[in-house]
Amino acid sequence: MKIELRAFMKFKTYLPSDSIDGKAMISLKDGATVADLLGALGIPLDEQKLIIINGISRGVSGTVNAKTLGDGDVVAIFPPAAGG
Amino acid sequence: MDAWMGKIIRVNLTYGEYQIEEIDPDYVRPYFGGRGLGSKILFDEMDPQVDPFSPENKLIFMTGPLTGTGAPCGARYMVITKSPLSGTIACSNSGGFFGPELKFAGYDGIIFEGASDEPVYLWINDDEVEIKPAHNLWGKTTHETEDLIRAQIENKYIAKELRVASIGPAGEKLSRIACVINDKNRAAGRSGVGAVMGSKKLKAIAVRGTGRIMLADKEGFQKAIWHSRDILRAGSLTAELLPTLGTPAFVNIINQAHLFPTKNWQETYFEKANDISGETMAETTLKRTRGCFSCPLACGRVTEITDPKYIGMGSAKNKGEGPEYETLNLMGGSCEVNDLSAITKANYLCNELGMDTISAGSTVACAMELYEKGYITEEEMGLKANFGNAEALVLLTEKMGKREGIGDSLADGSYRLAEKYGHPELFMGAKKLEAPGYDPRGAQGIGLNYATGNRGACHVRGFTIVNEIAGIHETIDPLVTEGKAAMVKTLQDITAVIDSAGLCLFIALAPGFLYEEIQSLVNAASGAGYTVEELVVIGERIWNLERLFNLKAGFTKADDTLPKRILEEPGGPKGDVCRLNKMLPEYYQLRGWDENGIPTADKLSELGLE
Repeated sequence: MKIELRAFMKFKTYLPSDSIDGKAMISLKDGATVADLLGALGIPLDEQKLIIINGISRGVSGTVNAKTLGDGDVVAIFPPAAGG
Repeated sequence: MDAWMGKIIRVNLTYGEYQIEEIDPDYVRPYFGGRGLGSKILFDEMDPQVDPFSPENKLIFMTGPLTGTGAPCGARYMVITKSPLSGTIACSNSGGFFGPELKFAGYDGIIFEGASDEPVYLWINDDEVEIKPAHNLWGKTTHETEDLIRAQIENKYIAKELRVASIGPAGEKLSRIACVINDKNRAAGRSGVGAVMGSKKLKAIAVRGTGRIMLADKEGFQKAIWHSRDILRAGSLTAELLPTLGTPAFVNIINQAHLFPTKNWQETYFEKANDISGETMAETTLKRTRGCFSCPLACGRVTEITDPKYIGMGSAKNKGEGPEYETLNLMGGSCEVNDLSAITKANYLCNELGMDTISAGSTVACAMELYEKGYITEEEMGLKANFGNAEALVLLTEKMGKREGIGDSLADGSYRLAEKYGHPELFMGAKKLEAPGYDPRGAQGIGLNYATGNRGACHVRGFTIVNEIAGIHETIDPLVTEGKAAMVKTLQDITAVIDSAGLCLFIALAPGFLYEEIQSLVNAASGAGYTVEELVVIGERIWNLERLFNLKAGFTKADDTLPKRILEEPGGPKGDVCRLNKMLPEYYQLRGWDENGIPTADKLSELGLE
């Protein structure tokens, strides 16, 4: 399946080379989680972040890593607006 | 007294006289200072039904016990009066250096009564207080006013040290969205408080103080400061995002969450938001950052535009501060304008002419919708004013600030504009106060906060976004209504305490900054020995006092509402509406109010009100 990744601020460095304007399509296996996405990009799993999936903020809690993604999901990743 | 100075200047502008009053510690204690104390004085001394532009309206400038003490983020003062925009109680908050200087001069606040026949300004230099003529200042921008006041002072040392709060042409012309500007680029922005100042022909207050704020427990206070600074350093928003990008850091975040009002709230996502984001600003117009007195965040943006198209447009200079997040939304997304230079120039115009950028931007957005729908013709408008027209944004802002042409109809805000042209439903706010840049269809809680806000639609009175989107103090689903009533009440109450202390709300954007921290700071500074329970009640008491003022001014449950667009037209990431009716009854209940939103006798008695 493919998800649309939108990386902002310091997370732009993790974008693949074919990204345009901070956006890229990322291929993942079906039933992949946020953790799988982070792994595919090389972002450490314990990196603090604010994740917004399909426009709904999932906050900065670590439990977001376990969230399952679906085909066509839009995932925006920011530095946390909370926490260290 | 420690922390508080214990003195207020009461100025009667009708008679051109003043007196220094000592404040009674027992009177202050249950209201804390700042917003609480100013609102209490207004409530006790004035009929809430007065005409805001009449001499009977009082205009109060008030600092808090922590203002100027060195507490982090402790620079705030407030302007309290009856709003000519909303008709509610107004308490407009600002930072910079003016508030601390007033305390160094020896005063907690100033109460202005009556009205002068001729333009005047108030000069305070420690014990020396004088009402001075301001004929040569009348008609000048806020920046020119500050420069002229400095130039008039013979002693160059004093001239350099003084701080100024003033109104610009907008306030002089009684624009209901006029603000008070201090230190050139800080604003007591909302509710048209600048117009009340203009109605009294009070052009400015200039203050210089060489005194010290006494502290009860210096060692304990120092420890409390270090502890607060540790908390600020541990929060990503306070330690990284705000210092590097300022509030514009919110643009992409709020937009990706589909909360970014676009085209006068017809949409909630702006394709071109990145063009006007903090990141783009940092690469283009940003020169350096700036902080208020005693603030480690330094979220202020010192900027300059170089785009030749806007350099010659409008009467403002081409450098200044800002724009902030709200301005980037209300003048950007809400107007569908993605030109950062244009928004920046319009922002500079607001600072120099003295207007609230949220209300100004929202009014331009409203004008654009009225124009596109043919309710205002091009001839009446004087120019093409489609959404996305960046030039129109700048030109309309200038006209508004000077009441020129169509600007005369825009200068009193979007409610009166929309009503004048037969479409009041195109006003986007509550209680005639334009809403800031967070759409309740993407975050239910902020909708409840807008509808119940004592000054109208305001985010800083109960900033639910910190939890609904940023997950700062708790993670809560933005799209549900469950739990929102309780969260809104809690945030509204603690915010009243933060405001009244003289602290900037951003101190609470770090996880872990709670009542205990406010208590530590205030008790060490003042020796007042507040308990946390007392502070919790103080917040609730202030909220209820403001509510009582509004009820006496004629507001009812019917005014606790939102525009039809937000209640009925889908928006947000899932095409929701704001389900206010699911949250409001529980909110009234939690507040101890009856089904009409009126505080019960038990609740009032519990809080020591009436």
